[in-house]
Amino acid sequence: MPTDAKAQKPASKRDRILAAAAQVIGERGLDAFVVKDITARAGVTSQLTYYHFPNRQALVRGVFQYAAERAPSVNLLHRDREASGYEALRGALHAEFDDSPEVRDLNLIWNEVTALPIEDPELAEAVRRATERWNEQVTIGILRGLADGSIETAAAPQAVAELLTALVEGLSQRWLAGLIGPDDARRTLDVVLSTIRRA
Amino acid sequence: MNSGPASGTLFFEDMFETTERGDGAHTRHAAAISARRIGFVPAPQQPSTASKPEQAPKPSKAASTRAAILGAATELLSEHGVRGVTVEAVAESADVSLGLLYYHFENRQDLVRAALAEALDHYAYRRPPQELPPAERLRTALSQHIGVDAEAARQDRVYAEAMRAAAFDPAIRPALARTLEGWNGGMTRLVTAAVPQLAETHPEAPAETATALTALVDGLQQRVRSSLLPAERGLELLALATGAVLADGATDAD
Repeated sequence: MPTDAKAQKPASKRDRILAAAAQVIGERGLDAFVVKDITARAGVTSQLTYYHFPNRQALVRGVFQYAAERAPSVNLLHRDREASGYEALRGALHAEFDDSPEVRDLNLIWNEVTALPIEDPELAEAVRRATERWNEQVTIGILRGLADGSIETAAAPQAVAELLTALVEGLSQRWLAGLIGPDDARRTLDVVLSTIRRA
Repeated sequence: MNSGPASGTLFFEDMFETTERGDGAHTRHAAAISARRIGFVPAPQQPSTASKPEQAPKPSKAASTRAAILGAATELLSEHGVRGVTVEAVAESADVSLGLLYYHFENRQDLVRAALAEALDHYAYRRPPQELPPAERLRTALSQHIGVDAEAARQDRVYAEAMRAAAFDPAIRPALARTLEGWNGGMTRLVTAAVPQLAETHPEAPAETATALTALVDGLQQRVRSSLLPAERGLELLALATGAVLADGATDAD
């Protein structure tokens, strides 16, 4: 169920902690971050942090959810009603590759959690649901392009969506690791996207 | 498109040729290459005059101790990931004291870097059988990385660990860049062989296609490894993508 997390109300204390956590984890990584740094950056007491997130695992789950809800490719996909389905899809997927700290942190958190086998079963379930939702949203984006004639493919839209999101993840690893720049990632994405664009 | 040194491709050619022999010889050969090329902390552009005097041609006791520690660290890395490489576990498995370990490696990070570089420089792609038609070779080379081949999965796990670690530690990037360059370069050659007319449309097209395919495999592999995607579905999706590439050259490819 897609939720637009940002639209609802002003940032709660919980969200402030999560925003700070996203920054700190983006800088230090999941294995090395220190909860005290998060509390200090959020400007809240450590009691409040522990009230919302009683342990490290709970905090990691919260931050993953926070990052997943803000993923640019999901949130931008259905916003631009003027563009063709193809252009909306391309713009949304391109937006994942951006060196601005906010976007990079969100990607880093997703990458940190998903790169290796996930030990916490609750987190694994959250990742499974978030991946499913991402695939669904991209499928809807493809269907829109098929409907307005900007996309053409013989393959099942669901399969194309899964391919595109897996490709974004593969490119994202390389970008975050510092092996390629955001423009390289977008160019490679375009190589694949151009195969479903209707001339 | 990549930031690795130009010599990386050459290195991969070496690997490619040696892995084809399919016997134990390639391991020793690859070890000799990596030892010659990088030392243990990747710094390919460092002039040889800067090398330390104790790195004399004949292997000293210190060098063999260092190699034993590094071997133990690499072993732990491929079995338990970066998290499994603790100084205590490495010292125990190499049967050396912590003091001796710290004599050779400044700290845990230094040890993790060296182990990742060592493992990455031994990354050996299995070359698909020469007798297969080009299209089939491309399919085989890609699909062996989607959770079916245990040895490939073990190496790919280390590659994924290195990717994740490189986001926070630039020192890991040179070795990783060489591995990625090898992965892309090998696939570029297979794409060129399978779809020769791709290069006629645009000289960079085979490399661009190969890069997209390897990135896709990396992404699918990650989902299979994290149990988010069954391996069969991963293979099905990969077949769809490879099929689309090969369809471009359906008339000429055997």
